[in-house]
Amino acid sequence: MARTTTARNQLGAANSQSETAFGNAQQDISQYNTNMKTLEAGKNVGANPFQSAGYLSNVNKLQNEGLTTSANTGKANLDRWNTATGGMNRAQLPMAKRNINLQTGQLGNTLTSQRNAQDYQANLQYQQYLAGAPLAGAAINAGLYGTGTGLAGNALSNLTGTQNDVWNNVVSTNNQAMQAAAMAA
Amino acid sequence: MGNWGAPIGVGVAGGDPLTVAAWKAMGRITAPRTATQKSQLGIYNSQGNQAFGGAQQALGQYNTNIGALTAGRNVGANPYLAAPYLRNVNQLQSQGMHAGAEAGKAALRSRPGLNQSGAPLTIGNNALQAGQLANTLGSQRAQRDYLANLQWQQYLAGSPLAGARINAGLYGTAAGGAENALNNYTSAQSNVWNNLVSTNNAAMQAGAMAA
Repeated sequence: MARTTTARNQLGAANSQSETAFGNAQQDISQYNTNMKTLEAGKNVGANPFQSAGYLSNVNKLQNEGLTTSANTGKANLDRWNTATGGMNRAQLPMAKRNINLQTGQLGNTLTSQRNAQDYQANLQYQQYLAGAPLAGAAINAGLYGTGTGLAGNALSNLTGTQNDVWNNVVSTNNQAMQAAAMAA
Repeated sequence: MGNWGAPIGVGVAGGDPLTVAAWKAMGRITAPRTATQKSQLGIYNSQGNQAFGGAQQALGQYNTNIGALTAGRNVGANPYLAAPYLRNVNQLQSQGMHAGAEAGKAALRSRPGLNQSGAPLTIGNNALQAGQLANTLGSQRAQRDYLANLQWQQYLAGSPLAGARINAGLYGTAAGGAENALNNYTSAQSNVWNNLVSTNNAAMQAGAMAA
């Protein structure tokens, strides 16, 4: 009986591991499908890293500093030009400086839009990475399931094979006993 | 299935069935090979369980990591916020800025004294601009570091998969070993029982012929 018990235990262990691997793979695939539906609905799977406060405050600061420096340089150039020309255009100077401010604001708007477009693309890729992440686990679990079912198949083959042997032996002995009884009679 | 410990053929007229002692004696002869195979099976099963458990644990960690990224959190520490890194890049930037500002001031001082009264103001302005530039450079580096950290966190998140893949391979090998050991074990056990039954049958037949 030990051989059938061992084979049966082996079958149970292999089945248990197969079930775990199969269940986890299914769970991962289900999560992947949920993620894809989220993307299809035009929503993010996870948080958009390009909308985090830390990131935005930094890039806004960066852009603001660049624009301020550029605007101040332009205004200083105007002042120098006005001085060099003996103050002939003094009345137009404030208007020209104001125009620089306006243009700087417009440029700021444009730069922000450009960065937003870049961030949008980058976030799309990041969301695809998050959406597909469960597939990696599912693939490994699929391999584990394959191994587990192979192990279970072998154990089952052993179990049924040994059970057949047991019954064949019982039948053989019974037949032999009957034959011996007949010969003795 | 019957009691295999009892003598087979008892009650058969003229039979000389195997006794319990004879069965045990045969069992002792064949026991070592089946014991070895069973022991081998146990080792492979233990290793297989360990590999399977390890793979599942790694996959669980991977899922946890992806959960952290999905929630907008870091999986591990941001290396670009480490004190030694920041100290070094700040020092690097500071030295570069300082050298640039000093060179500018020196150039202003070296000019003939026609703008003597304006020079201190220009030098002051130079220092101010250097400070603003430092601010800007710091922000530029912070933006690069932010993107680099995003990649680093993705690397950290996926790192348990490497161990899981190796454990999956180990599980496959252990399963193959266990299959082989089980095949050997049941085959050897079958041989033992077939031989015992064959011997018992022969004994019964001989007894019947002698009667």
